[in-house]
Amino acid sequence: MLISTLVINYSAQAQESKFKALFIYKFSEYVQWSTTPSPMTVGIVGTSDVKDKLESFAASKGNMQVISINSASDAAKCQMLYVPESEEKNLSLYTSFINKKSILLISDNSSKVGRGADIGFFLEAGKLRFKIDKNNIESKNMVPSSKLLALGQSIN
Amino acid sequence: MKNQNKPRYLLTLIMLVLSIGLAQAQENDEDILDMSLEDLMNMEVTSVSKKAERLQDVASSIYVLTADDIMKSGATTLHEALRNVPGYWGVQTSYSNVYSSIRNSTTENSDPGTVLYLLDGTPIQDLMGSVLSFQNFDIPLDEIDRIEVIKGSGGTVYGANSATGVVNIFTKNPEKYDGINIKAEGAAPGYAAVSVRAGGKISEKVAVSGYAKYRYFSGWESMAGKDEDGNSTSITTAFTENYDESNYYSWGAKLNFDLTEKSKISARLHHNGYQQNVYTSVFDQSFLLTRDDDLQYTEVSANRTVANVRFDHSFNDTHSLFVRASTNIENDFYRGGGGMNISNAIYDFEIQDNLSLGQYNDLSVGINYRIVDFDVHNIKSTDYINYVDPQANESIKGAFVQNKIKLLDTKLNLVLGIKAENYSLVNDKYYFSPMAKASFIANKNITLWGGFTQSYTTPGFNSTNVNVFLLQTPTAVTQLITKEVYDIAYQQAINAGADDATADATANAFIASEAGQAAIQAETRNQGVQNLAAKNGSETSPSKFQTWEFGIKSHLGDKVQLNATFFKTYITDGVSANPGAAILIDQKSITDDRVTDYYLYGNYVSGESIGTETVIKFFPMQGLIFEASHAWSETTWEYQENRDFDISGITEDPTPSTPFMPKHVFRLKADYSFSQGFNVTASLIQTSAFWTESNYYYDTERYPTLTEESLPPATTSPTVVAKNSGRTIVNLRLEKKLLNDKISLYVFGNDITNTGNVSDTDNIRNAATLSRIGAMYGAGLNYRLK
Repeated sequence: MLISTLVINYSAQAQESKFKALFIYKFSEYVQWSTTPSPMTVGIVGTSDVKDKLESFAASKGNMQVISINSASDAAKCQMLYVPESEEKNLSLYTSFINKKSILLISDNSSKVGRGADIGFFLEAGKLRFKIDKNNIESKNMVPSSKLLALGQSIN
Repeated sequence: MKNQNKPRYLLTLIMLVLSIGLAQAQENDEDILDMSLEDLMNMEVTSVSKKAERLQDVASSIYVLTADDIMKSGATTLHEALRNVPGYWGVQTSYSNVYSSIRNSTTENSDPGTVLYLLDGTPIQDLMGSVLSFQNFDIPLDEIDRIEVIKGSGGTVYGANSATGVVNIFTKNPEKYDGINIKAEGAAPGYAAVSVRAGGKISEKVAVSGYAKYRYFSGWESMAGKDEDGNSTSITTAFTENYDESNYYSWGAKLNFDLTEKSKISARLHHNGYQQNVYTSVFDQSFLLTRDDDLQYTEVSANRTVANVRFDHSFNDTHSLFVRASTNIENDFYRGGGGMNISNAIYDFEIQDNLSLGQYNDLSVGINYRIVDFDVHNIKSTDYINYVDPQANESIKGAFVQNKIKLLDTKLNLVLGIKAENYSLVNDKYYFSPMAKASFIANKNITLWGGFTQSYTTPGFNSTNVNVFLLQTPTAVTQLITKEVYDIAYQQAINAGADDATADATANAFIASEAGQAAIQAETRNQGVQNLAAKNGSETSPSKFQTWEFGIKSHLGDKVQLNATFFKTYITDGVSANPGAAILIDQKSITDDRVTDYYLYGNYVSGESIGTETVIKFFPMQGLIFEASHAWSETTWEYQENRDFDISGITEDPTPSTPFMPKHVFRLKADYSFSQGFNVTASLIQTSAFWTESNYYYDTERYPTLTEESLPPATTSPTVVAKNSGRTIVNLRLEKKLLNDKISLYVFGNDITNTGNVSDTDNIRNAATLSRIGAMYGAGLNYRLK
């Protein structure tokens, strides 16, 4: 009873952004890069509520920095790159630039997984889920943990 | 009683909780970073808040059965889904009827009543014995979003009857509904279920959903006229009607309406019903002569309605409130004592205020008022079982305060709270359920937690005013003894010189006199055939459970997750029958004028439960998850000081030689999703021995009475059926998803190594028949239209 009732009535959109930020934050713990960056740099393309949330998490824990990305070449500064729905039209620019660089590309759209994105979000019965492209991630010299692969929907 | 009405004590605690909360108030709200990705995936996006998780996550042993878990389990009933939960166990008396418990194994002939079942927050306990009637509950299992099973006390938050566990069933939220789904599945032998569900937003502010389901089960194999092995006996069975077949239906509707950005109303309605032929048994006044029961047959049509309306208001990001009204109305056939109809209901009203005082304090304050209506009617045999007040109206009043405090840069978390509750069915006292728990996040991989809780379990209606006869003096015997006494009085009168008419009048007058009745009663007792009955003792108050728990939640690398809990519970004022013989002699029956010897049941036992729950999840490779668990729980009992009898010199041990709940349950599960949308799930459950057995008289097709051992032997000897043993349960399920997951096809086998067990034999509630449980093999289809 109390578990379900101690809920602050955030707007659904804000909650979704917060959740995506949480997932992105967690992804950094489930992927190995060839060299362990410290702090981890996460780029957010364009403007997104996810950036604010992720920044607050990063400030709280101190092991991550969050930067805005305004051009594809800026992505070189990141280990993870998040492309929100509003920037989906430019996704191909980023996938082309990243190519085989060890940058984990996370999209708002799960249908982009297999088409350049390594991980893509989707909602299922109110819960956040993600698809994952193991082969693409490994081809970029990163190693996704088996737990991450077990929890996500693999397309391979 | 040890618990007195102490308002000052409550006030002091409330002030302490509040003062700690205020002292620690700070800003921040990002404390869910320590949750694992897996935990996050089990949560609804819109219910993420630090408060929502921390109540579970800080210091409790909670197992969440997700919609995915339920689907992959192949379960066809709620019990089949729940039996995958480490720490839960249910003893089946038939396909749908289960007596379940968590961390508590009772004394003989008592209801556990310590696990609270909630459907979308509404208590759905049976009011007769404070247990869930699984028989009278059904819902499309895919309508369930998740089941949170709290092992251990929930008393401070949930109140009465959550002393050793809470099973919190949450159905899908219409705002985030998974479209339109049609599901059909069938299995051998004779199982079929169809359901349709639909829901979603119909406007910016309104979301609705609804469901309907029909389920049929033929039963495995009728045991009428057969022995335990299924071989026909020479007896012409009295069970001529089909009592294995059962039909179930359920439907429901839900509404969410956003009044403003900060206020919303939600409503939930659930209704289910079942039809089944039921045989029950009465040991009437001819039993001692015939040594046979009086068989009762009832075509049962029962139903349950669960509903709630709730108003939520968020003042700001740190302050919210809800007001909630709910009901659970149960119309059922209660099988005890030959059976009776019940129309019991609760009407619950609660208000709760939640205030965050910065990052470090989440304060909750709530009150609730519950009206409890008992309506027992159409008792099959009122001279065998009856109630002092079969139609009663009672109330429960409660209030609680709880604060969650985070210290040491959120690494140390404290939860302090207390609930006070009064149940008018029992007495006018308030019972306090305090809680103090702590967790320490050692690092991102290890959380240690522990604490103390106190909870109460209120007795059900059966423990407060029932009068049930265990043996009734045969009418013919009473007539014979009366005649004997008459003859003696008559002869004495004749010997004194009276004529025949005067002697007759004198003898009749003597029989009618107090002395004459005493003589008849003494001779009846001398022949060992006096009325025997059971009723509650001089006081039956709530049972107290004090639990200490310690646990660890850990991630060992990124492939292994380990949760382990140790608990010890001290129980006082547990309910049991008195040991030995009847202890109230020559009483007038409490529901009629028969002279009766009474066994009593009351707060006669204290006990200890001890155990561990260990769950390991292993993620060895892509798409593959292994889960292994072990639950150990055992309860020992001893007689305690009480007002009704002296316990010195009692050698009888109230702890059953074999427990009603298995001491050990091992579970293994493998879940493998591989290419092309295939998933295969396999599970194994192995238990140690638990109590299922009873004697059974094949010639008269009955179980013994509770006093059978003190009676002259029947002409034939009984056979022990459903011998106590462990259970092995193996379930398999293979699924293939098609058309972008819109279609799901699956085959399943449940309990596939079961070649036909006779289920638990309950000689009180399921008095007449043997019943069989067995394997089920089936296939199903789910089609998501949209």
